Amino acid sequence: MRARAIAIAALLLAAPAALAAEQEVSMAQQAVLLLKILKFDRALEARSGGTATIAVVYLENDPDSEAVRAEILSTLEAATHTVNFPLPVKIVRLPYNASRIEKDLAAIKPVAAYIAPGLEAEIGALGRATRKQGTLTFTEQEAAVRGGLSIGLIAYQARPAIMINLNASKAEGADLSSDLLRLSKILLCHPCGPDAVQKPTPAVP
Amino acid sequence: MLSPALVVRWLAVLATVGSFTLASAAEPVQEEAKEEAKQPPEPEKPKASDAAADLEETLEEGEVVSPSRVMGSRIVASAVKPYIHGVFAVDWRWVEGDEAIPNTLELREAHVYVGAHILDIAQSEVFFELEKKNQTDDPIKLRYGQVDVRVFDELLVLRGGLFLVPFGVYNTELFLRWDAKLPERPDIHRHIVPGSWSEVGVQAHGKWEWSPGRVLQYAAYVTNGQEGSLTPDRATYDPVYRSLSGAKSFGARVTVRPLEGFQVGLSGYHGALNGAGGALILGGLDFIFRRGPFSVDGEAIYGQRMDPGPIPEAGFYAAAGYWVTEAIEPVIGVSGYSLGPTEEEKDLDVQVGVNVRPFAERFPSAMLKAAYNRDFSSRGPAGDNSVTILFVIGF
Repeated sequence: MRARAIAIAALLLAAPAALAAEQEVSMAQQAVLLLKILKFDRALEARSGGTATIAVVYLENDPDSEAVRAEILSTLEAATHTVNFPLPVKIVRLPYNASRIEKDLAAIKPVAAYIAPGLEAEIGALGRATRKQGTLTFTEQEAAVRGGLSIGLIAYQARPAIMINLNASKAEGADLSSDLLRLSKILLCHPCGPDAVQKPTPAVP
Repeated sequence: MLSPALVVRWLAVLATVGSFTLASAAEPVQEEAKEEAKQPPEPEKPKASDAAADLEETLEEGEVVSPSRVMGSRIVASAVKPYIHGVFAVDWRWVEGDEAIPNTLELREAHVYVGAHILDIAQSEVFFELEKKNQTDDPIKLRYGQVDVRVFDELLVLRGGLFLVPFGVYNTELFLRWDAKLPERPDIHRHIVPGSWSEVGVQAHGKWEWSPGRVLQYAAYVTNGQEGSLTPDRATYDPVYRSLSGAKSFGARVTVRPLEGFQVGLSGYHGALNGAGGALILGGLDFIFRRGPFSVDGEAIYGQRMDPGPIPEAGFYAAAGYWVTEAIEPVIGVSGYSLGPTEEEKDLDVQVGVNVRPFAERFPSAMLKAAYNRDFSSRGPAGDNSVTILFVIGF
């Protein structure tokens, strides 16, 4: 009887958390935030080669991933018309292929990559590829930032928030200004090992 | 007694103590002043850059949302613009003669349209009728449920599902009651052309505007046809939702607007009825003319139904109106039909009425419509009279 009561109480406590997990920053705002955040990267121009290419990486045949890919592509296109950006912006989509991701990134040389859902199991490999290429990663999933992607556009206490895995962003070649860090929630690794993607020990100060 | 020497001593003591007290009272003030002077100027808060202020504002103004899902599967929410519209019509009617209605109030229409625009490529819509016509009538009917897919701009649009059959002006142009001149549809649209005529099938339609105001429109369709008792009252017909006979109806409609404000249309229907192909054949010619406050529309229909042999049927109507002011439009109409060789199957009506838009400037789709109908058929010595007063609002 007592065990049942505890189980019910646990379920009731877990339910709001599950509902809250469904919250996200609207896609239109994620697109705007992505462009505005990129402007705080002091290494942007050096990484861009004249054009800021943004890749949307997604998993083919995954309905959630494809839906987010379609939505973020259109909202990014729209955001390029409303956000004043210092460089020409090019948006491309990139279906994830584990054996080709490094070559694909090398071919398009994106300054940033938005990682759609569905690639949670590939964060390690993605992180290695983006670090090698010098591509700053964005995601809407907090767990993916904790797992090694750089910047999360997340819902935090029912508000949009920016979460930055500082070491990951540095490893991806970005030099983010303190103005951005002041507005963000920072993840630090203690200590960051040679492969922080695999062994993150994050903390939210 | 105080000696002068004692007084002098006390004064000296008082002077000493007093000066000390005053000096002591002044000391903290001087110290605070010194401290203030020693304190370095308060450092100015670092000014955020314009970009940071802009980003902060974006974060503050932002909202979090729940992702849109259908049956748990995520959809591209920003690509979908859902809508809901409706039409409500209530009326009072008095009808004498064979179908006498001495005094009734009625909910004539409670229509709900629910749909969505999907980017610029598709539109889906369902149309529910929620009114009860009588005590045994089903209160909810699906009048249409269709999806349009734009293949090539407006030139070619494919439609599938249950749709209103594009025949004549009412299912295509004047379906909404505030667009029609009179409160009631002409009799030919209840006795020859089924009222609110829907069938299940596929349709290609499109529009080509070759110069401003000059438009060619077309629609061609294949459907499962209709089923129902073979009476002149087409309103009892139902669409065949699943064809077990394989019989099909075919039809097409073409309208041309050669001049701005003038449109002429031609419709044809070769229909399957109760599984028999070609059991109902209809052809129609219609027009709409609008010039300033004046407008007139009309239609002539000829056809034949197998009963079991071919029985010719024909009918016509014309209705005209003139907006005297933005709010008031007197209207006049005439309609007639012949469903067979006997006098009982012929009918001729004349209508006069008025349309009033109480909110003409702000909401013209709210309208009060009143009409008197005089039946000149030979069924009664003095004919039948009827009056309808109807209020309709569409949103």
